[in-house]
Amino acid sequence: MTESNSKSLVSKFKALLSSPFATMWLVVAMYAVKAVLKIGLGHEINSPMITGDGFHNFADILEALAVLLVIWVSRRPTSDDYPFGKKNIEFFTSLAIGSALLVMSFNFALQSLVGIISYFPAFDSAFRHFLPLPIYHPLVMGSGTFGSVFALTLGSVLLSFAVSRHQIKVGKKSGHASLVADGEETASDGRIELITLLGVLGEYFFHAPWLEYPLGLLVAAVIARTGWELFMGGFQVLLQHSIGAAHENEMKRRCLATVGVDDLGSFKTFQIGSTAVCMLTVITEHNTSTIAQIKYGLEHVLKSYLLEAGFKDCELHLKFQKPEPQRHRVAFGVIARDNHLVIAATIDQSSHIIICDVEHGDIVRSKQEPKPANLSEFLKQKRVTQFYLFQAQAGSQAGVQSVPATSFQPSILGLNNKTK
Amino acid sequence: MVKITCAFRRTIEGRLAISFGADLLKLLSEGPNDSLYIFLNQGSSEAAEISSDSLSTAQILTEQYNRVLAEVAQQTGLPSSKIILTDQDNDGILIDHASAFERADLDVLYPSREKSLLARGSGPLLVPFGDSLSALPAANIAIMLAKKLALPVVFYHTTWIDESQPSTKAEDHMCNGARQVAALLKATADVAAVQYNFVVETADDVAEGILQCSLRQSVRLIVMPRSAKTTIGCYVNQALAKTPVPLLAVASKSGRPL
Repeated sequence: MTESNSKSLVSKFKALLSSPFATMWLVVAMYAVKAVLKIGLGHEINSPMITGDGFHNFADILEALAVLLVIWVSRRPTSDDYPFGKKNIEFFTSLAIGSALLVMSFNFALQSLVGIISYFPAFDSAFRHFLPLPIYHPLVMGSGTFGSVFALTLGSVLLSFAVSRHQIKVGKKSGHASLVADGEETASDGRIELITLLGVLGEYFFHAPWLEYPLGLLVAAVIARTGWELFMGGFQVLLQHSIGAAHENEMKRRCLATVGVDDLGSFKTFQIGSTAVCMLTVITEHNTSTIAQIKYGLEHVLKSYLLEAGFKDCELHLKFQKPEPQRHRVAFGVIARDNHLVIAATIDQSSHIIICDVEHGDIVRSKQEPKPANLSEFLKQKRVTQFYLFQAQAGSQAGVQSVPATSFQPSILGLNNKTK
Repeated sequence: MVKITCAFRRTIEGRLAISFGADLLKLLSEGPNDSLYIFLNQGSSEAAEISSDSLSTAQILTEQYNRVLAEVAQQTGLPSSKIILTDQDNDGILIDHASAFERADLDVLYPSREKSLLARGSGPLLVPFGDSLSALPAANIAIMLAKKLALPVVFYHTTWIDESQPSTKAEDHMCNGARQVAALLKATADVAAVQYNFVVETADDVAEGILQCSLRQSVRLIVMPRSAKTTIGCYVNQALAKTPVPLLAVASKSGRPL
């Protein structure tokens, strides 16, 4: 075999190992070997603990097969009925495995407590009067079986941690939450097996099998924490909880640092599978052609952040909205002659009145009318709030604020030449 | 220090331009004597039209001067002594939205409705370049600003694809003229000891390529040269029409030294 052929075989094997399906079949194989060996050895040495652990591994095989099915379903393409695909099915697995780990940690903690109080018979019988505690099974092991029990337990521990690490790595890389959850469950199995190993060693070397019980309580707490995280992770995604205040605050900060963004209206996020969905309303005074660029900038900023934060993909729904226009009307007294305008100094000088609609602080529409006989009534009718002249006199128009114009030049005041 | 002039307009864009100018003055200021120039066409003939026996043309002009000065001072927070009203807009940098589209003979900074250069945080300045030397005056202004503001510069070039070139790297498709300009820009930035980098790509649309690169890199100001040779489809005008990033359009005959 040439060197290039062997390299190609190695890379093919690596590619196979990084596949979620191949990883889960590896997990099935691991549990099958563990279940057969543990049930066999447990029967051989009459150890209910090892036999029970073997049956637990048999149940793990069924769980791994369920995860395989979930991964297959989650990879189904999107359809009209399922526009986001079926990625969220993975989080049912997180919910189920999280719940199972919580139950497992409770049982393990209970067994460890029972083990501890068995060393204090007076307490043991006192507790059992009012608590239905499980029966205590001491570790039964002869010196002739130590080697095989030790090898099996140590092998199980190492295998569990190695496979768990691989599962979590592949799960995170491929974006399969169910694979990550199952990997966490495998790691928890490994921790329990490690405690069993410590018990075996404690009894063999120090005749102190009690060592495993306080450590067991510690491991139960670790498993409970993992179970709670998985449960809440699944719960939050399935109920479309936001992707978290810390993420949202950082995303808002980055949006506001993007040119053209005046403010943010609604801002909603949630997660579908490993895809983050973000729906936001951007407040901007820019026009349509500029908004296209702002949208590009925001999409770039948000996508970069979400991918950095560990999401596999993101869907962004951006809506653009102008700020409140704060519409009102103002009027100018002007001298209009031969298409030429100048702001009048006084009412007497004015030949015309220009009524202006103001939005966002700018004049968006204006209409020129000959100066009416009753100016105050006219301005009131037109709902004018401010009346400008170059030399305005306060209170000259009842009900309307008279304001001196900064300049007498219409173009400076936003009244361009189109105003006729 | 470069002279900063803002056109006085009593509109939202006019107010934003003045805020932008005042902020830029604070950023670039070298001493207590630096002033903000406000371009105001006096309008003497219009003043004469509304003058009367009780209000002379001179009084009207003085009144307008005082009102504009007070308004700018109130808006910017600058003391009146640091604001100079002028009827000259043809030297230094003019900050104005409308003039950017109308005055190819001036260096006009279009603030694109931003209140200030660095209010959204620090970011680089971007100088697009082609195969002509017109980029050099713009680059000089950008490098001068970058040095004073301690900001990096991005030199941006987008090139047509050379079909005879099998490489997929955009740099390999650059023509010799653009390579020479790039070398000059690099040398200028090195001399000024300004941090810089080059972005070369094969964008479908030049103006969009410039704007999208600016948005990807959080650019705070695009400094873009006008070309005296372009007759139709000026890239500066195309970019101005849709930029959310402030853009300094440098006149083709900018008086700045190379």
